[in-house]
Amino acid sequence: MKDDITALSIKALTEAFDKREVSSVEATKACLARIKNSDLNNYITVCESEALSCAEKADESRKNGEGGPLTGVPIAVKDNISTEGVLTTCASKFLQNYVPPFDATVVEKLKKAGAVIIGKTNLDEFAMGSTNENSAFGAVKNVKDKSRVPGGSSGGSANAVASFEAYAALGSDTGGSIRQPASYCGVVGLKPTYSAVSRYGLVAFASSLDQIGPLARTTDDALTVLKAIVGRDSLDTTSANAPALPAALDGNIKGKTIGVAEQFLTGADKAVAAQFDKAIAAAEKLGARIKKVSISSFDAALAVYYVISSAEAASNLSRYDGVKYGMRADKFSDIADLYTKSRTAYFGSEVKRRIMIGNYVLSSGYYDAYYLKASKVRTVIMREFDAALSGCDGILCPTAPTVAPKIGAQTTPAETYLSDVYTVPVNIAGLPAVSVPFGEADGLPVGVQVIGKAFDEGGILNIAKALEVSAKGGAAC
Amino acid sequence: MSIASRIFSRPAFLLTARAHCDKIVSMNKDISTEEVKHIASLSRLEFSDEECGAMREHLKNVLGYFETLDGVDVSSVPPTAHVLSMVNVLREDVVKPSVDNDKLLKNAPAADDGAYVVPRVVE
Amino acid sequence: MLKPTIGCEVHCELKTATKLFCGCKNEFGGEPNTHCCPICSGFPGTLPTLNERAVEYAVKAGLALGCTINKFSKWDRKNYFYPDLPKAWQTSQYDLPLCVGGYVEFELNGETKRVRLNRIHLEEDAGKLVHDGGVSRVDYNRCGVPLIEIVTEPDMHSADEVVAFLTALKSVLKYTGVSDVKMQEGSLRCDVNLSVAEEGAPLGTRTETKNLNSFRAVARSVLYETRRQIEVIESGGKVEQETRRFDDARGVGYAMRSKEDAHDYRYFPEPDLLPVVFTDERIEEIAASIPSLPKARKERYVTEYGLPRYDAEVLTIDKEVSDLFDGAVAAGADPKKTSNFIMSEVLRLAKTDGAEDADIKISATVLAEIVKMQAADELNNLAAKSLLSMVWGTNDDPREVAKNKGLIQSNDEGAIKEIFDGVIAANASQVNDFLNGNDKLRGYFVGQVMRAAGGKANPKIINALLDALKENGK
Repeated sequence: MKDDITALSIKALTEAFDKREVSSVEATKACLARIKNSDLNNYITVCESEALSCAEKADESRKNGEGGPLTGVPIAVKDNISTEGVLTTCASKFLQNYVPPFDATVVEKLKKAGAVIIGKTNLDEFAMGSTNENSAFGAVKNVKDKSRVPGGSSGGSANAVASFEAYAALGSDTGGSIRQPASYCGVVGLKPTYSAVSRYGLVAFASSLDQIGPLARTTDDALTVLKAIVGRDSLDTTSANAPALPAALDGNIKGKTIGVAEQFLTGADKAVAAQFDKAIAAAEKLGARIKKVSISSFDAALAVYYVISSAEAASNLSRYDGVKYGMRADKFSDIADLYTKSRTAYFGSEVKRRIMIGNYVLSSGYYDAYYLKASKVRTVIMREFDAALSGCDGILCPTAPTVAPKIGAQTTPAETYLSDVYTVPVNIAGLPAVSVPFGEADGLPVGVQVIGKAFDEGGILNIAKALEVSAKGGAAC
Repeated sequence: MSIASRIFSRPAFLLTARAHCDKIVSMNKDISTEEVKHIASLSRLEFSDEECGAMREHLKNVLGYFETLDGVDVSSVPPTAHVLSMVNVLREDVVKPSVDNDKLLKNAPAADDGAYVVPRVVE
Repeated sequence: MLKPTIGCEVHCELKTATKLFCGCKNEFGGEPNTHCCPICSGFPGTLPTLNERAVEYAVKAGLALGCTINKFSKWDRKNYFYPDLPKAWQTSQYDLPLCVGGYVEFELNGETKRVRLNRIHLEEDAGKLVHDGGVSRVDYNRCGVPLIEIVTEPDMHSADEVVAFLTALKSVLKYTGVSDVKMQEGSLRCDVNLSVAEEGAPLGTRTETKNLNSFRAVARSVLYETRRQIEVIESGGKVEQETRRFDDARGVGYAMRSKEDAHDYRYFPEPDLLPVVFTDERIEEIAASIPSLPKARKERYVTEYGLPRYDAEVLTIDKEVSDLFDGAVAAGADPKKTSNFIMSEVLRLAKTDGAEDADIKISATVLAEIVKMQAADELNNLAAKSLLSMVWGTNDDPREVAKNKGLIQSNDEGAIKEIFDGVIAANASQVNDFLNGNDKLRGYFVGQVMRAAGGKANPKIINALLDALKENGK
């Protein structure tokens, strides 16, 4: 069994730990070996020595009968989550040399849980993108088909889990950045309720939408990682204590009501739509009631998302000015020139596009037409989700309209923006949603998304587990 | 017949991704090169003429697409003041140790005597 | 005739223990970047946490100034690039500040004048730049220190009014205890918005002179800017709307070159902070914690102690002075005598070198003792004055010091009479003149007796002896 220990779920791995069939050092070494031999470009930084010493400690504590469900488990962290003493680049040339003086709260929590942080994963620069092609450290190749993208922005995290280079990973999701790559790579990706997980140490893209969450091989594993990172943090005023998560998922959805919104069915490719139909059929077969719901403001969600996220990003990214950290242009005439030259030289083009949109919609005379309008439509979207969810246990929809596209295939930013069309409304409403693999289309993974009420991560993971088991050909227990 | 179409009275998958995409590209807002340059200066970014042209096209498309917002009636809707309904989350006024100066300035592109260094600022 | 119209934006640092959004010390000075952490230095991924005392202090100041407290208040980002602003935005309040309305009242040239306030909001201070040759050094120690910005309506029309307004405002702020209001340390700074126009005409184009940090600089810059704008208009020019500085050393103002697009701050709601909501109970609770303000104390001094209005005003401007007075009276000193002694002697010592802030280095009990000793004729005026300087800053027992230094005056009528008689005998011709009506010689005799008594004779007794001499001589 030691040949493919990297393919185990966290649950199976920790069981093997307890049976002394495998050690954390062995599992860590196996992952490191895979990373070393990989051409997928999942990692920007590999923490080899730190990971190994952490694994040794984990083995030690397991020997002493200590340790929890993550002790000794190699986990990857997206490179926009701060790690003390370890490069945190956000896949930007601007921060290619930035080493944070502190750990993000989630990293601190993972460390406390005994997890082995194995490395920092590739992403679209500052999490802006849906293909992982906007990385200063090169594109990531999808493990299922190396000519394709893994999705984004948490492409490295999703692909690392799919390619057995980590047992689970942390990603961040602003408009689908955990769920869409999870769908493209065939793994489980959960975006928790806004405020459920502390954002302290997550390099901000759009503060009112950003949320950290797990990518894992199974819904059970996703729950395990989520449990380790949730909870109110005194360093993040916008974090909250969620109701207790279930001890385990039973995958029983008999009698549950699952909503399907017409608006979430526009725009999906045929093969993806067909898979989604099967998912609805499976849910029905497992005893769930399918109910028609409506989010009539759906069409405006993408616009709301780009107005608000770009505005917040333009402001959040203004701190990169060549004064305190990161890069500084070689030549400049004065302070204003230092700013302009540094930002122009070290930001990538997508980041520049978002900053430009953001500053445009916030600039004098346009605030009411764009930002204010968008935040009113945001209220409408939130209300419609509340109403729709009040009558069901979860809303089911495709995670993305297509399977993973070819590298370089999306030629306009508009095409890329569209791949987030089903995931973005969830961030706008601040709700939890999970993408779970449900079969394949054209030989590539397809995910379906379950959207839930605020703080009902347990509920949507359970629905996802039912689909997960059904997709694997088994019956939900 | 697909289940989705069974649930809904009309064919559910109305638009292909491509068609939706064409919709974005077809909507345009007129933006002048001067406006692009003004926003670039607010953003502390510089563009070559060619880049400026491409940025102008991009802004035209995206800002044009933002007109979809007008399709939603918000006449009596308040803006989202905050995503969360929580209020009054405050911190006690108790001193915590500061972080070592060396540790803070380690990442600075230019530092001297415990301070960040920039070209002289003229007021 | 062209007349100036003036409004102020006053920035006042709050005296909290920590900064507005992190637990770093709120303390003036220190080695550069030593009261700093990743949060106040604007590191990626950091988030603000709001200091509850800063919010309370801002509301306290608002209540003391008659503002209405917004029950729902939120935070906004004011975006601009400047090296003293590490996040490249200042967290401030835009459309829903903590306090709105209110006023500052003061007396000027015998008239009561009110300057209306537009609002008070809470925001963070920026860091400091130290210019040195070709470079500027950036220090974030001050970065994130809580500030209230008090914005007035354009209700002032002269430098005197602006200074009187600031004096009264500073007085109230100090009374509430929310700030040190030390202009020399920058905990109180003033931006002056000024325009000129013919009386009754619509307001002219205004300029903003930023960061004035003494009353003198405020007054001079108002005079300077008024004259400059009048000259521009009278020579057919147009006043430009601009941000200016005033160089106090050279006495000239100049337009700032930086922040050229600073007028587009791209405000939007701060997503990282939650709104603050107040109940009536909480507002009342804060109101109850405000000590009696200068106006109330002034009325009390006039009605209860019968002090002249002017004296009451002088005593109450500075809370420390007023507290000293109240303390001394509570310790048994006579209010009028205490008031006179503070105004003539204490304030002279407390405001050396023309300082704006009184630096009181004497306790109320020590002061009361000196005033009481003087009232009991144990000290004459001169001795009281020198005793005050002797115990200033040491607060040693004044009676002991007075004894040791031989300041206690003699009230022994017999002994003084003996000396007096000697002086009279030795000055026959002066006595003659005195008895013939030259009363100016009274001082001469007192002086002679004093000298012979080693300065310790009670002048009242000497005067009484002179009166008796005159009476008898006739």
